[in-house]
Amino acid sequence: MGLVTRKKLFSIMALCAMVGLLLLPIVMSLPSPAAGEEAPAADAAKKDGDKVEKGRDVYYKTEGIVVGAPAPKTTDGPKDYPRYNFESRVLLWFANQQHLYYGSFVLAVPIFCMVIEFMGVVTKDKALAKRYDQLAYDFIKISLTAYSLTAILGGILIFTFLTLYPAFFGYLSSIFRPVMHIYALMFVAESGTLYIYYYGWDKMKEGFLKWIHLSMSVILNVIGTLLMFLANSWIGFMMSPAGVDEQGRFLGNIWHVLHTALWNPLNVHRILGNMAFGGGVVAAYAAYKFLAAKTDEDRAHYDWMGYIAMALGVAFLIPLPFAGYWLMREVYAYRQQMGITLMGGLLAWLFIIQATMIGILFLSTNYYLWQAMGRMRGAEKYQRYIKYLVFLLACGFLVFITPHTMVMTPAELKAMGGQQHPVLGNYGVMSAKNGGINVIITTTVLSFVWYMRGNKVSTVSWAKFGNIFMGVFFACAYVNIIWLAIYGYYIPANVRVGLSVPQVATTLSCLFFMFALNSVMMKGAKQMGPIEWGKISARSQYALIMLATAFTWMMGLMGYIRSSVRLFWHVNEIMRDNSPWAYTHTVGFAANMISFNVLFFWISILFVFWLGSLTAKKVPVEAKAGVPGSAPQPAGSH
Amino acid sequence: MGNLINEALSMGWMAMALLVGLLIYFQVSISDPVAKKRATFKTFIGIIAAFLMFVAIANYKNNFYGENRLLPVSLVMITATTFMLALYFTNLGALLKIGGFMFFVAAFLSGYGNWLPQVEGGFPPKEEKLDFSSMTPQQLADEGEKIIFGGIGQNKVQGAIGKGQCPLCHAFHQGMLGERAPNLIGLPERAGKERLEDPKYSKGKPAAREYAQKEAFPGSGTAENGQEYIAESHACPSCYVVAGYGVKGTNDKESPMPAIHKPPISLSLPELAAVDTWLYVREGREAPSYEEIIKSYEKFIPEADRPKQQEEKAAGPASALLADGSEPVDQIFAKAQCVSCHTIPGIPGATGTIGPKLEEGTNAPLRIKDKDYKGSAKSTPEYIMESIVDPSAYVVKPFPDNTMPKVFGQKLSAGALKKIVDYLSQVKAGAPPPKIS
Amino acid sequence: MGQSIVYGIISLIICVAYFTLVDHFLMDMQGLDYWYLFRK
Repeated sequence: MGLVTRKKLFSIMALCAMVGLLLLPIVMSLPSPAAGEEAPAADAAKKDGDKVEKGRDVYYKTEGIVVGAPAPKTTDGPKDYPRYNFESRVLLWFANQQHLYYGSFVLAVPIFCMVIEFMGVVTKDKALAKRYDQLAYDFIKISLTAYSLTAILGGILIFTFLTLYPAFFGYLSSIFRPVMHIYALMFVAESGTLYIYYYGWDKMKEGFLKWIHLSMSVILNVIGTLLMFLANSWIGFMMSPAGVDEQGRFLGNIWHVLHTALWNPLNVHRILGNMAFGGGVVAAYAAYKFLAAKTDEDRAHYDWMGYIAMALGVAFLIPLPFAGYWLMREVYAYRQQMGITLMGGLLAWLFIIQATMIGILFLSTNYYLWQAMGRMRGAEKYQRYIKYLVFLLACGFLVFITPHTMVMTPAELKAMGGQQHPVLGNYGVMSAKNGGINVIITTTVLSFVWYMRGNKVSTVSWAKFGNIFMGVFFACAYVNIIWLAIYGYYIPANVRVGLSVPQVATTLSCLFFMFALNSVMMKGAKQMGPIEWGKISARSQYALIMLATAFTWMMGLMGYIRSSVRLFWHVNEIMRDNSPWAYTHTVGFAANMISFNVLFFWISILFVFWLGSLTAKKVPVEAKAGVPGSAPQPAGSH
Repeated sequence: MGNLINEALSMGWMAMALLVGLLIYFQVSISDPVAKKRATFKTFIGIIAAFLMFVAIANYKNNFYGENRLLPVSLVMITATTFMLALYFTNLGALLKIGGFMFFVAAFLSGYGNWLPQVEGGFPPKEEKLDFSSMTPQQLADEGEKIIFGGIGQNKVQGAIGKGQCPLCHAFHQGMLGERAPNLIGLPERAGKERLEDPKYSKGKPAAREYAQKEAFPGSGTAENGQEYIAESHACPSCYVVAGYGVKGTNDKESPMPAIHKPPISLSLPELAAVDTWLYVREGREAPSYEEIIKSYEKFIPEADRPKQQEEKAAGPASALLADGSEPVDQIFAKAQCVSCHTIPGIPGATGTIGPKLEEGTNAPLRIKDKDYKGSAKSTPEYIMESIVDPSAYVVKPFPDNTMPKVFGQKLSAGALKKIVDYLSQVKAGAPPPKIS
Repeated sequence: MGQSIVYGIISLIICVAYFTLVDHFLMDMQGLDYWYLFRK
């Protein structure tokens, strides 16, 4: 038996082991709901003689046999709410947020790895393939340190829960008992897969083995995603409980408990959010390495890495608002009151902050792209138009952040003469806002197109027509978006709401058609000069860091909003929060706390990066095979 | 500032002492004058930076819970510190600058959050299962006042209104406004005497009544005493209508008042008991016992119709709204009780005549042109909005001023107001009414 | 030069037609009338 075939056999066995690990929890869980249903039911039956109590599901409205204890009625005091001399909620907030940051980072990075590794495998250019592979390896290396930190932070989180909110956590774990065990098993599977994946990298470099390796990354991501879904089911249950009766007694159907009204929207929203966040963190890592780099080669490599990470992050940022829209619609469908508290009530100011942050994200993306044009010759021709883009972005941004209606005191109401400002109120309506955000996204698309054709001149025969057509298309798109925004003022509300669909379609048309057209035109294009990776200004790297910090901050903000919308419920309408901290904090306090969390996360992860750089120094620098010689073009990679 | 410096020193004296020690050590140990000068300079900068850092931390710590909007300043100070350090510790320069920049971004966002108006979600309503049955009459009366006016001691405030929405139509004090429905002062006295003895009431002979409804429900009979009269009035407003207060055009046969135990108001029996108790207690009379009042209601409200006492649902600031804007416009009109005073074409049940008929597509432009018009509206929607938020801005003749409550600006959500404005601005005299959206 | 103008006009026609179609049909799909204001 040859060495290669033996290797093949081993790798296949490893893959099978992984699949086995993945299936293990599922196999284990098959009998468990059944057992969970019968055993306690039998207990209950014994206790109350033969009388079986029935309950009605609060969400699914189905009848079920009561098998759980009702949600405990807590009272303020050391029994239900033991505490240090500090606000327990803030401690929990901190522990939770840190765990989430690290968790979403280690879930997002393997997905990038998978994408980049795949690109490496399918790319025909050998040098480029090697660079992609190296990049994917770098990514997984970063996430490995963070992975152990995630586990540690998860432990801290559980202990914080157990010590500060024992009654609540007890209730939650009584409902989710089987799920929590599956979760733990999945975590084991995740670790195992990750280690085999990481340590097998060099051994499984070529041909068939590489494909096996790639399939491992798929399995790794499936496990990771399932893990996150399970964790999401807990917060889904807290926000929109199901599977229990009005008193919070478990009715025996664990699927109902998992599959609550908000579970799926949360899942989708979180995957996309994690990806955007992961892209931001990796981009920041690249920026750090770029700024700290001593040689041109390092600078070139990390410039490229930062670009890829940014492009991936932004690619997932663009669908994020739509997922958010779906989540919000489901929230409204679940409880009108909850939606109003979010968008028009107590938490509305936080959404103003969020609008600002979305603006900041797009502005920094654009700024980065403009700076990035500096690294290619021939892009100068676009530089002088950038000021007009800035103008467009600024206008869109200002309209976008104008609030519509706010919670006001009667005095303020009187001073303004109604719920809306007489002039600015006009920009606050949805029609104008949609126009604003669509202008911003379209401008970002335009910046991307310019960037992609920066150093090239199309050689196709219809190049002139193509250029004119693209120009006209963008111009018409802007006109259409703004026209629809203005048109909205002149037609009744029920027709107006529909205008957002063609508006979004216009933006998406720009995104898809113009990218496609551009890549067709640029096929075999004449290069004015290579992309000089590493020749980017230091300022651009700060734009990446801005992007990363803003992502982190926004994640903290949205998480806070999602959590505080329950107001004074641990589990919405089932279990009350009777601790002294059942009120909602002010916007300012929340902002400070989020800043604290963000800074703590970044300081700790910069420390992790720094540690990583220490070990890297010890290892003799691997042949820098991937350093761009002929500077291949990754621009079409997003 | 002095406090901050003190605190910074007490917090960071060890680090500073270390740096000072280092400074002295360099003075002694390094002999090369150039190297010495550089080392001295570096440590000196280090001391200043450390000091600034501790001031920043002290500031942050002090203001963590405070209302101080200068808190992000300490983050900016840290940024300055790190950039300063980065100049001198070049091997860590990138880290320090990145860290500093992040502090700056966080400072900006924190500052923004603190600059916005600060709203704190109040504590949730106490989860006392309001057990009305075991309360003293005074407590019960207080609860009643809350239901009627929204709070204890609110009964003399014009425009105060609670869950029961009674003051939308009824006045409760001498001289206070309420032309749509009888003034309820002296009701306990009046109920048992004048009202029951009114021949039109036909006590004991429900079949002889000439009103829209003869009995609250078949077989309920009529009231026998004052309390039963009050209960019957709540449960079956159209069983007896005080002269002059019927729906216009029905010759006082039908009452504009909704049955209180039914939606949209849906008070439960214990809540009604609380309301009634307040009516007695506020006049210094002895109220019937809780059980008696409940019994009086049970006489007029059949078992199936009795609303269960709900647990107080999430009572954030928004839930004080009469309508949140998600309802179709006809329901908004009903919930806000517009319909009991105004006639609104196209809205079922909106046949009130206490206020003007709302054909604002036609009327509003005329009103704005009226020489007596002193308001600020320039267009029809603005005029309608103004009339809702500030009814006294212009009062249509011959209707009296101060009849319409001035609370709708706060009691209706922006969305609800918008729907109302949209609808009313499309209503034109002589044209078919607009569709309900 | 003349060619550019011809190209520009052709592009303009295509784009205006495209966006008008987008506006019309996407409103139509929602059961709404894009031309509301003009029909009135």
